[in-house]
Amino acid sequence: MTPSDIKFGLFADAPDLLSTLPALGKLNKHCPAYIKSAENAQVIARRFARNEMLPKVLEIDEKCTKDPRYFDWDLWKKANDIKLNISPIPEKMGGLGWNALANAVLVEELSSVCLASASNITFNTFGLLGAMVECRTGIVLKIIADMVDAQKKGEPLFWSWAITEPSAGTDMEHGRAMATMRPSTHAQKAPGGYIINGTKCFITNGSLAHYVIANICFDISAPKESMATFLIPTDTKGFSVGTVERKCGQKASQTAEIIFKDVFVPEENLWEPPGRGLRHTREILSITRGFIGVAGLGLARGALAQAINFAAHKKMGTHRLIDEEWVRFIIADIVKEIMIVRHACYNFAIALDTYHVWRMFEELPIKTSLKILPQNFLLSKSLQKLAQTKILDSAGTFYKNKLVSEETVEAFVKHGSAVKVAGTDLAVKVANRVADIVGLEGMSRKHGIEKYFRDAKITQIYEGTNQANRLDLLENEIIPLL
Amino acid sequence: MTEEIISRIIGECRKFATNEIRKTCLDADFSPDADWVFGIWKKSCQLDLPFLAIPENFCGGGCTPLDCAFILDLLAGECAGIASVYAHHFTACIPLLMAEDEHQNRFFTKLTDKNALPKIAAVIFPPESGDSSLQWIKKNGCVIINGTSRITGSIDLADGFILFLAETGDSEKTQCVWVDRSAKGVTTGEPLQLPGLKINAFGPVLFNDVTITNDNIIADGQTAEKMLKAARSVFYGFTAALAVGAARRAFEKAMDYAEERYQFGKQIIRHQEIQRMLGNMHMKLTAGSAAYRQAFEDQKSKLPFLATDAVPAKIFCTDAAMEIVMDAIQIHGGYGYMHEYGIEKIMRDVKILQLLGGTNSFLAVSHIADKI
Ligand SMILES: Cc1cc2nc3c(=O)[nH]c(=O)nc-3n(C[C@H](O)[C@H](O)[C@H](O)COP(=O)(O)OP(=O)(O)OC[C@H]3O[C@@H](n4cnc5c(N)ncnc54)[C@H](O)[C@@H]3O)c2cc1C
Repeated sequence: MTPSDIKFGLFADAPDLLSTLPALGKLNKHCPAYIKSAENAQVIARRFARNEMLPKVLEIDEKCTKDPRYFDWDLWKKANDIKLNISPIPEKMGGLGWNALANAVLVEELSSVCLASASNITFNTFGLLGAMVECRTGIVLKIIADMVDAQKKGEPLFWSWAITEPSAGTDMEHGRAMATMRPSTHAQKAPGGYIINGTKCFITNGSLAHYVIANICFDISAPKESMATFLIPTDTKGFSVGTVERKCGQKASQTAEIIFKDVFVPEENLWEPPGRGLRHTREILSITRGFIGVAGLGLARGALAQAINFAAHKKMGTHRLIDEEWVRFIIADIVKEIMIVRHACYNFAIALDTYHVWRMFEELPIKTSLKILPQNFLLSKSLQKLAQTKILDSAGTFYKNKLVSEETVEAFVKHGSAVKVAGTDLAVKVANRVADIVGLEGMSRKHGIEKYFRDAKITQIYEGTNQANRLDLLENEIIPLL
Repeated sequence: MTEEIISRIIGECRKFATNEIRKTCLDADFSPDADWVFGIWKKSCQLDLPFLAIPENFCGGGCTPLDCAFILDLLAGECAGIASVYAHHFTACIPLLMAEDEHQNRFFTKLTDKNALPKIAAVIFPPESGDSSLQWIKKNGCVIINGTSRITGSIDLADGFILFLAETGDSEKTQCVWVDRSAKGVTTGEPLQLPGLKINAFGPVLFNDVTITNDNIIADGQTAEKMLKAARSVFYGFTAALAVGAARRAFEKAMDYAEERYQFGKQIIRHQEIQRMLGNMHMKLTAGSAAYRQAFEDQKSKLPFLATDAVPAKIFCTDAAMEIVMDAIQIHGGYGYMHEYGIEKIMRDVKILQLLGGTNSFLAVSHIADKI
């Protein structure tokens, strides 16, 4: 894709967070450092998206069409070099220390060029996110140390989150549904651990992951009551990758079937006990759904930027396509919708920082520890060992549960679902409407606009279909009032 | 032609489409291959499918444009890409139906010559925006053409093109000519790489001092202008039919899948939200079928096919088809996004139908502007 000389979206000078979201001005007055860090993220993310992603993503998409297992390590390494894939890890521990607002900026900018490459880089935080749900101090410290270590070495450390099964998609994300599901994967107690058998499907990065965080039930006749969460290293005997899917779009991000055949998982890798699996999923969803909304927003903004670029250069006799009045009205309408959804997205991100797990980093004990303890010690095996002692290990869980209550989680599922539906419906709508502007010629591969169209549709399906999201929104907002 | 014969033809075409196209069209979409099209085309000659629009006295099927639209509708149910090749071909027959006997004789004989199959024709329209990059002059009874045509379908497949040369605001100058693909000075440019209708490559045709001799000049002036209007209108109607056919298939797939798939402990078709979606899809499909039929209504048996304006049908049917297909994918959940399920292909195909012959917003505007 070619850069645009029209300074909209990705091609505008960064940072423009305050000028494009003027309501942040108030926050800027009271917490300037908070806004500053997001502005900084925007400068870095936009530069990366423009300089590293833009010139490559069409070529990557084409290679993945031929071979769904193709992965562009070159782009991944460039992102790794500047730590974009470990952005939420505290700076002191080797990450970027980006809060939810800064991460929303990152997702918006990268998705405005390529949704799939953006997810290769940013979805890797599943590992940390998954661990932070139960928040056992020892596990969280170990995962952070492993991720930082891999980053330093320039080696990938990939995490997949595996909930979907061939016959249960929505069923794996919703309580009432889960009670009725037909599981195709199950766990069984064995000496010193558990044995897992079955298949999960459509797993992002399932073919590349080093660890899979999987929800699996013990009793197939009582899936909800027996649903548990496991951490499964993919080098365990009996784990294998099935089909890597050929998809409509989102091609640079691999979607794989994963198969468990008598996979042994040690006791300590049971992250959530039977009956708590759904709760684990809901907590992750309470964060990720909103981010998918942001990704949809980014895609819409990117598609519009490319369409504007095309229309401004396409000659129609004596004038340009963009001089046609009908084109201008369509663009105005899209800009309006992007503005509105964008405000909702950033509102959500700021709320995450205020009420959800990110606030932990702002709490005194953690803030102080990060301040006074030396980095070597924070990342050391001895600290991890110390943290695994019963008291310290459960202190994390206790503390986190105090900060992030059940109600908070469900409230964020609700808000996140609204943002998810808004952002992803926007993505699909805009990808369609810009095609209506640029026509056949503009939809030729080289302009990249057709790729936005192919990519957009996935956003309405994963992270819960938009119907499932609407159900969650309704069941948390209105049904309790009836 | 009687209703009975038509319904027999339709029945045979349906069988042909299911047997010959269904199984292989996903592979063809993945790696487009002209030989695949030629193979299907040749087989379809046994059913006289390519000759349906040609009058019976020239060994054709004598079908009306509406009959052809029905056939295209059902072909598009299997693959809108291959159906669009037939749509271009049938459209190319329209000006010939309005031509002098001598031209009819010449070109219909050529198109039905069973010793030289496949013979595929396509049409090159002047750009909708009226901004042509083709120059031509008339010299000693010949037309000499230079420049590049706008985006045309079937460029890798067609043996020849019905080419319209037109100047905005001066219908006296309009020309309708036949150009052999193999004529001196004719080349095709780099095809656009479009996301849909992939087996039918769209791209520019380049003309370098191409001389069209008198016997390939089908008409000029007002007659050519009438042919242009008719061909364009029929092409919009055909595009509408293709979209409806593709969307019908998506709808049927969604109905079947919604009965097969269980979530929340019941078939998803038992969820009211899915019923609402399917109900709306059905409504749009019904309206779309009616819309394109209506567009052809006046053209059933009369020549020239002038009266109707098929632009509203094209806009309505292709937009409705996109909405239907999007919902069909949604009902399939993650499976709908996978190539092997064949639904996302329909979405990509319909996207191109929305843009064919001018984008829908552009057409909505120009359709009214032209009447002022
Ligand atoms: C590219 C891609 C990447 C993915 N990555 C991951 C991943 O990393 N990890 C993972 O676990 N999963 C992943 N998924 C799976 C994804 O989360 C599921 O596809 C999604 O949850 C939907 O499930 P399903 O496909 O089984 O559809 P189903 O749940 O079978 O739904 C089918 C249809 O029924 C509708 N429906 C269901 N219940 C109701 C109801 N009560 N009312 C109305 N409508 C209803 C749905 O909205 C949908 O339209 C991915 C999928 C894709 C395509």
